Amino acid sequence: MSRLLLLVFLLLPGFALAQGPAGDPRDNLDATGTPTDRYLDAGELREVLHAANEEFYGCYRKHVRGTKEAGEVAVVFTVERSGAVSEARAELDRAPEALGPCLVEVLRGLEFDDHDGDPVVVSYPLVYQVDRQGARVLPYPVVFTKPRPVRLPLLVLPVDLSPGELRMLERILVDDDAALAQDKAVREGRAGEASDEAPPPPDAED
Amino acid sequence: MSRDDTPSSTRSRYPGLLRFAAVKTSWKTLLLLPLLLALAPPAWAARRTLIYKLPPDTVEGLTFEATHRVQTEFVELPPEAEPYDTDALFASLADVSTTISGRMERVVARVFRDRSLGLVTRFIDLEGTVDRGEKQVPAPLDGLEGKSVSLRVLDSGEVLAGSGWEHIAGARRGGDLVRSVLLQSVLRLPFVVPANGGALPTRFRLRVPLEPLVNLDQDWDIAYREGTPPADCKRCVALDYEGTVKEVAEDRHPARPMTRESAAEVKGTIVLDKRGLLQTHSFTLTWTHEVQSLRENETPRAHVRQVHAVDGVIRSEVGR
Repeated sequence: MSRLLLLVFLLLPGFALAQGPAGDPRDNLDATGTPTDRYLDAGELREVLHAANEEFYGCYRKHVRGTKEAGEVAVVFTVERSGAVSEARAELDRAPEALGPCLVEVLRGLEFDDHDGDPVVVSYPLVYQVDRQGARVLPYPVVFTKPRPVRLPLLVLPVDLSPGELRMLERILVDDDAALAQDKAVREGRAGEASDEAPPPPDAED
Repeated sequence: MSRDDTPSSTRSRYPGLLRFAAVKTSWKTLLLLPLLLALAPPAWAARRTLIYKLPPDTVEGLTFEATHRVQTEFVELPPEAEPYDTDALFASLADVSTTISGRMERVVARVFRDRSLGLVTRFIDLEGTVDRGEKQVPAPLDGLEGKSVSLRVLDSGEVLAGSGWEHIAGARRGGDLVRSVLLQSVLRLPFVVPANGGALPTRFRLRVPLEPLVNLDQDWDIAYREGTPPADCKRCVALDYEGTVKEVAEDRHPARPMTRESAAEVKGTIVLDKRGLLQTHSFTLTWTHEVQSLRENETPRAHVRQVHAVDGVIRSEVGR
């Protein structure tokens, strides 16, 4: 019996090795921070912003007195392909104006990973709180990004299709009746100005 | 007969497990067995002799050129189209030829635990033209430049997963111009080079996750034959292939419900060097897409037919 156990003990690792290392369901191409994922996701943005929490708090400590003065503040910025921050601004609500440049300065010092995607527009709320634990900026759990919409992915369309032509195609092929009725109303309103109707205006993203 | 009834003269000195396996050898040999099993190659390795060499820690450069001709016919239009002056739009979509050329830089960024490879391919130095039968104009490819797609592949060319497609998918981005180039750059290889002029049929399924709500599900059915490698490519392997592809796709986004059923004829030639590095891959794909847009209740709204012919070639930047 002991020999049998010894044999099993010796054979098991051999079998395991012969079959090779097993895969794991957690193995993922686009897992946050893996070298195979060349695009910034909310998790990566949040990590950098949370790490800068103390610096955001430093601005509040310098320029804001109490939560009444803080209001609802958010920072908005763009992460370029290089990872650099551009077009940084602060939406201050009723917070003191001096807070804005300080927050923008913090944003300019942030370093994100370079990525292959379009520049990412990010909005991040800053929640200033004073309670028994003292004053602090709470790390907000959500980072808001505006991904560029994917439009008519099942049609093979020329790469130089104009925004107006694309919008017209969408109106014909997929827009719901409510959107169409709204569009028709707008068109009728303009009918007196121009008889030869131009295609509807392009979306803001174009 | 119970075990206790076995005559003592027929009982083996080996435990039951070994008797069952009909193994009768010395214990010293048995001790070597785990080592032998550890060194034994997996079963598939004995059969597969054709693989892509995808070197780790190396950026592999490939150049590519492709010509796309897309003919679009609006078979059925909904009443919603009536208020619009569609003639100019349909004329500009009727027959469009687009050329694209550039480079693909690819790198094995990750080796997964199942030995599959995380292959990141980036499109750079892109140039192209669009021609509607009047004159060629430069194609705006800024949205495609520098974009990458990650594929999890086996060295046989089996694509297990993909990510990043959503960054090049959709109108005005140009993803259609490079998707076939990227997929053909790792086209599934047969196990061996077909011998004696015979054909080796190969069937496989491929899923391209264009974006979270759109998958392209393809069924490839191709036959490989031994091709003739270029004279200056010593010990190279050439594979000719020809076959068909069927594809179904559904856009489940509530703002743009659509389905697409497609069929394609495909043929091409792959040349690998003696190590398995891709040298050239020339290919032709002729797709017919039947696209239907749907209403909220999933009844058909419009029907568009597109014939999409792709003629491309991929070349290694490394000399033979």
